[in-house]
Amino acid sequence: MRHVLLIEDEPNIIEALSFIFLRDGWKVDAHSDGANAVATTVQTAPNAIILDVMLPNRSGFEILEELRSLPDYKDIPILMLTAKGQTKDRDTAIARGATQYMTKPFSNAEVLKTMNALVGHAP
Amino acid sequence: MIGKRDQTMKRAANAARGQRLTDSALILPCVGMILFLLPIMWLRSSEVAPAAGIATSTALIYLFVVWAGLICCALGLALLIKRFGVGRS
Amino acid sequence: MLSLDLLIFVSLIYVAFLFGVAFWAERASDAGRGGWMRTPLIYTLSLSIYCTAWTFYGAVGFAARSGLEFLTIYLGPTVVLIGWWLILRRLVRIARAERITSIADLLSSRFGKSALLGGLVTVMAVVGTTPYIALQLQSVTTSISVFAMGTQNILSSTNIALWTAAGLAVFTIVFGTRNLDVNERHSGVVMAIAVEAIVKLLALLAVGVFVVWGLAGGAGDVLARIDASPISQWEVSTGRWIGLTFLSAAAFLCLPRMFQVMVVENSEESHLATASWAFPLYLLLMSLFVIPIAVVGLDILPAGSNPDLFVLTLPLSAEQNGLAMLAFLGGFSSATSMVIVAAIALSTMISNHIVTPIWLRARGQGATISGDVRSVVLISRRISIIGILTLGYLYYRISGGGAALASIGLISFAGIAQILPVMLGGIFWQGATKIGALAGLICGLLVWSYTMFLPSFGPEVLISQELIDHGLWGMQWLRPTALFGIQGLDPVVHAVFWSILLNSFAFVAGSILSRPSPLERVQAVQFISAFDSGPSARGWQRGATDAEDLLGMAQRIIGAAQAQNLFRTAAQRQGKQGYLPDPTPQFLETLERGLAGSVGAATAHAMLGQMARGSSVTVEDLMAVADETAQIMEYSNQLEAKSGELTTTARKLRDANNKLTTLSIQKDAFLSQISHELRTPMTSIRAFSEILQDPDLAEGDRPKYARIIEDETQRLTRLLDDLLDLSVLENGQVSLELRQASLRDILDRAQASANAGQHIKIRRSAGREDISILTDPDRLTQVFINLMSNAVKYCEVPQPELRIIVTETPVAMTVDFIDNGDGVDKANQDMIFEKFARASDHTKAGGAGLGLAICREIISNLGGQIFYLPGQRGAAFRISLPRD
Repeated sequence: MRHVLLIEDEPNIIEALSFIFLRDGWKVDAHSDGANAVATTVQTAPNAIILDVMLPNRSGFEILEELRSLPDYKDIPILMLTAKGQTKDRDTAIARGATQYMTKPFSNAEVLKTMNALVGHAP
Repeated sequence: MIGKRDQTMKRAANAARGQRLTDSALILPCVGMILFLLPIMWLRSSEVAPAAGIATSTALIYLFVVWAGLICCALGLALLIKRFGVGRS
Repeated sequence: MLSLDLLIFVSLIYVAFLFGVAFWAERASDAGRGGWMRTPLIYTLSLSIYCTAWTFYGAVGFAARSGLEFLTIYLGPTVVLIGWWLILRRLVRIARAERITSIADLLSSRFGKSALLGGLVTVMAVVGTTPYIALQLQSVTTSISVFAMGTQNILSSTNIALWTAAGLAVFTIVFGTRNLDVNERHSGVVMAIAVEAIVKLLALLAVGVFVVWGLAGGAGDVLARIDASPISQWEVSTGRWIGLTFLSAAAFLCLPRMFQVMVVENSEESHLATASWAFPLYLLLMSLFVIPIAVVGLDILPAGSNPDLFVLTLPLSAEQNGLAMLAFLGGFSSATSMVIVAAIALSTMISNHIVTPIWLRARGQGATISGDVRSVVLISRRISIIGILTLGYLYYRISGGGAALASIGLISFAGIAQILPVMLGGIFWQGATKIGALAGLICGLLVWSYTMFLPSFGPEVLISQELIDHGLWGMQWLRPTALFGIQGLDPVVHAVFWSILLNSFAFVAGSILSRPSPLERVQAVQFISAFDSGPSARGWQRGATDAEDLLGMAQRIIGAAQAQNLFRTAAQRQGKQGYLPDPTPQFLETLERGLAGSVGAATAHAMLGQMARGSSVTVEDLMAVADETAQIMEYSNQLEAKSGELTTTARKLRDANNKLTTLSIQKDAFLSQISHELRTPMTSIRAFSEILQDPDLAEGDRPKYARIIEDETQRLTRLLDDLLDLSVLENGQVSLELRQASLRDILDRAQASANAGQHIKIRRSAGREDISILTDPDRLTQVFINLMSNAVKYCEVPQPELRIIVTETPVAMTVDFIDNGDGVDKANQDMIFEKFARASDHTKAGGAGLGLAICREIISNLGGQIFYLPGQRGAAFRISLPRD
């Protein structure tokens, strides 16, 4: 079962991503606030995460760091999305343990392909 | 060099003039007080010998002349002090 | 004979004219056109309140009875003014630096801001001035009764006195307590007094000229008549001549009304230089014709005529009704101007040194509780004025306007002169202490009462004949008229000599025997070193006092606008932006002086003490400061000034550097922000565009996704519009469409577009919004909409409320938007006007965070300012716009 958690604050982007992944047969959960993101992750137990950098109340980098510090989520695939488009952000993301990094706007097919590759699902 | 020396001289001259003006400003009221107290002495003399006393009208004129003189001095002093800006910090 | 009706009619016209002058002067001064009113000439003329009705009418009587002696009353002040460099200049300088409001305040401030001393001096001043006011009321009624002689007397003399007192109370309240000026200056009153000064001088000169060249045969004839008259029989008394000259000089310095016009109302030190010769000249002219009038009066008028009224009766006897009328107005002016200034001076003293301290104590916690101290001060001043005039009237009624009043002038002088030793000691002698001052004043007051004031009512009125003849407890050496068995002195000289001597002795002895409190030492250094430049000795230690609390308190006392001004200036001096300076000792001291202008030194000190308690002014701190010798203090003052300068420069540099660093960081942040704001909508657009291309998509979903794309496109457009708007505004390329518009319309329009009324309660002051301003109404509306929507978004309380307050001054107009939410953190207050700065969660704002930045640019393009107003509980923004 492919199960993705979308941590993203823009409702329209959540809608788009949900549509894409649902159509591809994924189970999709979404969370739109930085504060309780880790708790939601533990609750929903996804096997992949898409994480935005600019979130209200808590930055995506901090969430990433905390998730990586938990034994259960040390190796979970995490795709980071950012709209800032600076190489500094990419380095930070990789350094803190993101599995993949993509800049907004993205191609739907590419996100899907990347995520499927990350969870080891053959196309 | 000369310019600098001139300036020093000027400053010294200014300071001396300020001192002179300040002194005058302090001495003037003392002079006034003494002159205003003078009538005590001559009017007294009329007691001893009435004929030798000084007439009231003369005393009156004396006092007003002293008064006017003091006013003129004060005016001059005020103008000088204002002009040279003495006492301004 | 002049009809009484005409006389009263003319007097009323004259009074109305004075009201007009005062009113016009206040208006001119409010509009900033009052510069010429602060000229040395007006200042000199205002000093003429020294010449009261007592000198206007009484000088001739004095001369008729005691010859040239009357001149001493003018010679004393002449010497004081000619010697302005020594005493007056010092007083004015100290009063300016310490924001002194009255002579009571001077002494209270000098001796450790003592409330007790201020109260005592106030009581002395009231006791000394009341008989003097009664004397003025009497002179008005007596002079009217001269005209009423032989006619049907409709008005009783008590009625006249009552109406005069009431009229004076009204005038004084209207122009003397109109506002609580920090400097206690009253342009209307001063102007009216200047006019009265001219009237009385002209009147006396006119009567004099008429007497010398009309009634007598010119100057030569008058001189001959003088030597032939009874006046020439007069013999000078050394004691009286010296004593009265001294007394008049002392009173000139100490009379509350003289202190008011000479020191408190002085706006520039250089005016003293002009007054030093001009006022003696005024006095000379006032006394020039006194002896001729006396001599001719004694010659021409029937024996037994009252010489106190020669100024009126001589023209009347020659049927010169117009001249008599002028003379009457001169006397009237002398009386009224004295009463008005005396009432203002005394009411200031009573409210600052008696009412306010008591009120503060009664309120328990003093200034820390809310409440408008200003209104208490103003009301207490108004009531004091009525009280003072009532006292004067009652004194007049009780003393019956009899002969006892004749010597009142000198008795009052002697009472007030008791302040002189302490005052001079206070400004010249660093060792003078509060205990010494109290001892001196009380001693002087007791001796004066015993030897002069009580006996003045006559035997058996207040003290018995027995006591006068045999002394207190039958001790001969305690006889009120011959203390220590020294007989044969003139009573006035006797009383003045002993009271001043014992007063000075007690003052010096008390000062030497007692130790000054730390605060007294600090104040002593301040007063004695008034002419040394540089920052003053420190009274306050740096504490954790919150500048915002201080601002709140200061607003209640000196008014919002003035307090904000004071704080902003102080902040600027420290090199800071905004309204909140660091509570440094220097700032606290400036603030204390500012407050002292309204409520007196002692009260201001107590209030600040309460605010800063715990963190300030421990006795040890003050001791440490005060124990330094004068030289060390001066040296350290100079060093301090220099290091202060360095600190300010360093702070400015640091600020500049910080600003540059911040700007660079801001530039990066700005670019990444723009990137974020642009890419976010584009992400949605791209994602849904791709989705829409999928042929398998359910038909029902297509319009929904198309709508999302459209929304996001609009969001992008809006952002670009805002950015362009801001860039145009920032570069000053904007073209404003200026026209006259009503502020109310603009606010109405903004409120409707922001649809703010539905989400938040808006309170406006409809009455004040009727202002027409030259502006770009669309741009201003844009700003108002922005501020209203901000309040809607960020004010998170159950009953959100937004107050919009419009304030108007002649040069500017301010609009405050104050909500009742949590406000903006101090840390964020500086940042909120920056681009993309959002104080909190950004999704809620809905915009890109450019709103306040755009507001700031629009307002600055309109020539105004917008800033965050701290200390108002909720979030508060102030827009100030210039008027025309």
